[in-house]
Amino acid sequence: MDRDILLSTTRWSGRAMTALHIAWRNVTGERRRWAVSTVALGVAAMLVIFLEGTSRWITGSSTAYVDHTGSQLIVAQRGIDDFLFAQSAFPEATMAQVSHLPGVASVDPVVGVNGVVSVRGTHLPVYLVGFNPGQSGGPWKLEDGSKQPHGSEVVLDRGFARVAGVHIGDSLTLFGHQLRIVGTSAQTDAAGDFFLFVPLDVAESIGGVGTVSYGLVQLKPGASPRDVASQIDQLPGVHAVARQQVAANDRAMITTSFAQPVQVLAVVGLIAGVLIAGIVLYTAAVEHSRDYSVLKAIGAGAGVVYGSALLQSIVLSVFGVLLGWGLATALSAAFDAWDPVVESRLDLDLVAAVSALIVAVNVLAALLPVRHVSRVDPQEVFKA
Amino acid sequence: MSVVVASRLTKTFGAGRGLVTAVNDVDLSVDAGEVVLVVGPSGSGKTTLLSMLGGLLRPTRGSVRIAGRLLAADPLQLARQRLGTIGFVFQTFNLLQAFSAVENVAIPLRLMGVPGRTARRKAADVLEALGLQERLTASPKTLSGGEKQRVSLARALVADPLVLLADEPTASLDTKAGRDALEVLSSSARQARQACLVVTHDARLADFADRVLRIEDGRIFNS
Repeated sequence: MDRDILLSTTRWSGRAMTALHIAWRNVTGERRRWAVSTVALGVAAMLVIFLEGTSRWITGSSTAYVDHTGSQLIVAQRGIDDFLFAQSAFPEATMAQVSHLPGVASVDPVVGVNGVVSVRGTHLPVYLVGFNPGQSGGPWKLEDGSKQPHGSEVVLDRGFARVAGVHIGDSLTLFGHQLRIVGTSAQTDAAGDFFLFVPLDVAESIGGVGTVSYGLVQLKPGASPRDVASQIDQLPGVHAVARQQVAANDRAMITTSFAQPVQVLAVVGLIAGVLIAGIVLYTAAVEHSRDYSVLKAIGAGAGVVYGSALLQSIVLSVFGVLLGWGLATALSAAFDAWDPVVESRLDLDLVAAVSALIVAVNVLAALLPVRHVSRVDPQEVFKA
Repeated sequence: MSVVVASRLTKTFGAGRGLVTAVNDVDLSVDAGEVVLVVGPSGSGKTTLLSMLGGLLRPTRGSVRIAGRLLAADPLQLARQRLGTIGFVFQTFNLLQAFSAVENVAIPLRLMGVPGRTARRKAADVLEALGLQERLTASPKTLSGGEKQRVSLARALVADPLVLLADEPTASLDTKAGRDALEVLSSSARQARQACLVVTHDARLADFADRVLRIEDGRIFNS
């Protein structure tokens, strides 16, 4: 009995290896076509992977600021539950009231000003953040320089600095203020909305003296966020929103406005990849019809014949995806080096998921050639 | 003892007024070690007969037994039954272009589950026996017609089948290469006690056969 199982396993693995061997040779037998097919599929895979990475960057970057504030609650003007593109304003005096509430360890004021800045003939959307140096609300990752602007100083997003062609030490006029650049920050490009950080009083002079936009609340250990929020809600003109809720709202808005169009482009890339794979595989199957009839005549079972056709799809897809991954990584690095305005986050889990999807969809595309192979008549072997 | 036994084998195509009887009520047997030549002109039913004997075409009526076993009706079982039991030799060689000579010959063994290295070694032995020791790794594209046919013969012989079925094995070869190929085929069949049936339009090959049959309009006659 054990010997039968062993023999059966050997036969199965032998047939599987034969199917793989046939698939490999059919795909790679003609090097020029193999190269062209792989490159075509690789470019399609690159598009899909890069665009999916861009979509992830758009979604992730939209909440990067809020995620890095470290606060549990955010105080905002009543009726405002968002951060990006929202304009919240309430009296600065409210901050003192919040700070005295039970359970509140600290509350740091932030002034946010949405605007468009013209630099070197380009109009760029910016989010000017005023914060108190030494408190939360400032940049969290620096590319270069200082993260603590004082007086008439500014920390710029590195992408903005690149587009504006300015460097640390240069001066820049923003919202009518002459500011000296002391640092460039990273991860502060929220889907193309560049964050610029200035001292609170500078932002107040732009957004309105005596008013702040948000309060970043740190709770005392053991304090209930819900209880503290309900106390803040009692104060006039403001309410408290959980940081995660603000992030979720911003993410939803950005996804609808920016990420979804990118997703549509990614789907177009995926469809192009499937069409390429389908055409390549179908052509290969048609050209190798005689080979399949020979295999069928010799006695190859359905597993070997259909398996080899399917494996061709997998072999081609795997090579296309690997090439696409490499190209997407190179493209992402090129953007980062030359034009750090658009990013593509090629996280391993995203690449793995997208690659698996591409391979799976290409296997579906192989159904047409498999159907063709299933109809190949072994009697073809007798045709001269 | 007869290895191949065909009884009242009939194949028709079409229906009604368009009905064509390609093979008509053929009784045929081939013994172990016997070489039978079936000679007939184009359209006489040679290839249809060979297809049915090899289990590649289902007869309209009649039956085929190989080594006492009826050919299976189920296509999957039939494929398994063919594998290693029947060796085919084709007019156009039908070598897989993406495979080398030795890989082509190893295919039946690999399909039977023989490990790759063992299969290639045995395939190389058979090719060497046919004088192709220098061409083991050659691509079919670089082989001459005679070499291709010898590779095709090696592929048919490698799994030591009970039956060898050859369809016009000399038609694509010059006279000398054709006679060489048939010499290899017939001597192998006699030596290994294989039942060998060759269909051809070339009656000059009769001297290689133990028995010659004539086929006309789908009917078999003793020559």
